[in-house]
Amino acid sequence: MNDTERDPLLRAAVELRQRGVAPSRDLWPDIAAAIDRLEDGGLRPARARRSAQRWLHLAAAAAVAVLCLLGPRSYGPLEIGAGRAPAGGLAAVDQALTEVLTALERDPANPNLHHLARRLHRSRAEVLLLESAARTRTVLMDLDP
Amino acid sequence: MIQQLRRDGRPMPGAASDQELVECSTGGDRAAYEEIYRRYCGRIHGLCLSLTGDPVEAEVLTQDTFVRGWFALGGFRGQGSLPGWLSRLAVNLWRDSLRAGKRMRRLREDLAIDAGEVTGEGSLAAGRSGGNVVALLTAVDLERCLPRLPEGARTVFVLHDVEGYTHREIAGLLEVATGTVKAQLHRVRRLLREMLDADRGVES
Repeated sequence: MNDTERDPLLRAAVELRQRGVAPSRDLWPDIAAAIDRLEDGGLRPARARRSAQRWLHLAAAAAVAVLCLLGPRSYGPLEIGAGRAPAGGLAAVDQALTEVLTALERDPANPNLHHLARRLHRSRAEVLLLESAARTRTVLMDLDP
Repeated sequence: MIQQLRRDGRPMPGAASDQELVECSTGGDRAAYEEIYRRYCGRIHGLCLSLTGDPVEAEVLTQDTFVRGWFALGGFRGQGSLPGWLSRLAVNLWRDSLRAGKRMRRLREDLAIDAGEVTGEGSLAAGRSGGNVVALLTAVDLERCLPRLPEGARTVFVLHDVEGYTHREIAGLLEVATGTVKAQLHRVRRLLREMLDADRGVES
């Protein structure tokens, strides 16, 4: 039993909040008119900034996810033949890179996006090398009886 | 659940979730925002009425909340509930109006009354002397009693017990000590008990 169930006052308070009290008249026409007046005066909702910020977050999240997927070893010297390219790694990198590049078109001066793009380019090259090494290794193993 | 869709593929306001309405509203869809108003005007107006204790002020504050909400909805991250976000907006606007009208000082003075006489915050049920007056308490009883409470005590009760603010959050909001908030909460519960006892005594 939680506090709300135990205490009748809290229970009534929660009931009061959920029930609400309707205003004596419809306030919407006045609200809509006030919004119109403010927009006519040049005030704009913060939606554009939010949209751009959200987009940047998505691109950054995708890039970080790819970097995590590849792991720290992919940023160090490559050990040709010792590792395997992650499954779907190239597609994931390409997807993240596309998103970051699109974000850069919207915000070309953003240094974080430039940094992410550079890292993703490097990751893409490393994934290609890993895949190539894995293929070579498979061919050599097939040749070895 | 099958959603009704408009011609452009967006959900009909009445069938949409809060999140969908927020997304449509932040895209400039005024009808979606009107649906948010229809859904939560009772809750926000009830809160405003509890805070201000005045029907006219409550309507103005409700109106201001939804006007401000239209411009600030881009800041709603979806981490809490939409009515919770609107409620916070209403509380912040109410606090700003108190500051602007120098009523904050009066409220703090009211909060200082009796603040030192009690400690702790036992529940009303635990503190009652007996009988089932409190056990039968309903939202209607509360609604009837709230306007009769002193402004400071009413404010603390509404913010803590109705809206779920913590002692610390209320203290920060009203610029008073946390101990004052706790003491007022105890005081308001005692006052409510006395009012309920008196009301039931009159009725029986």
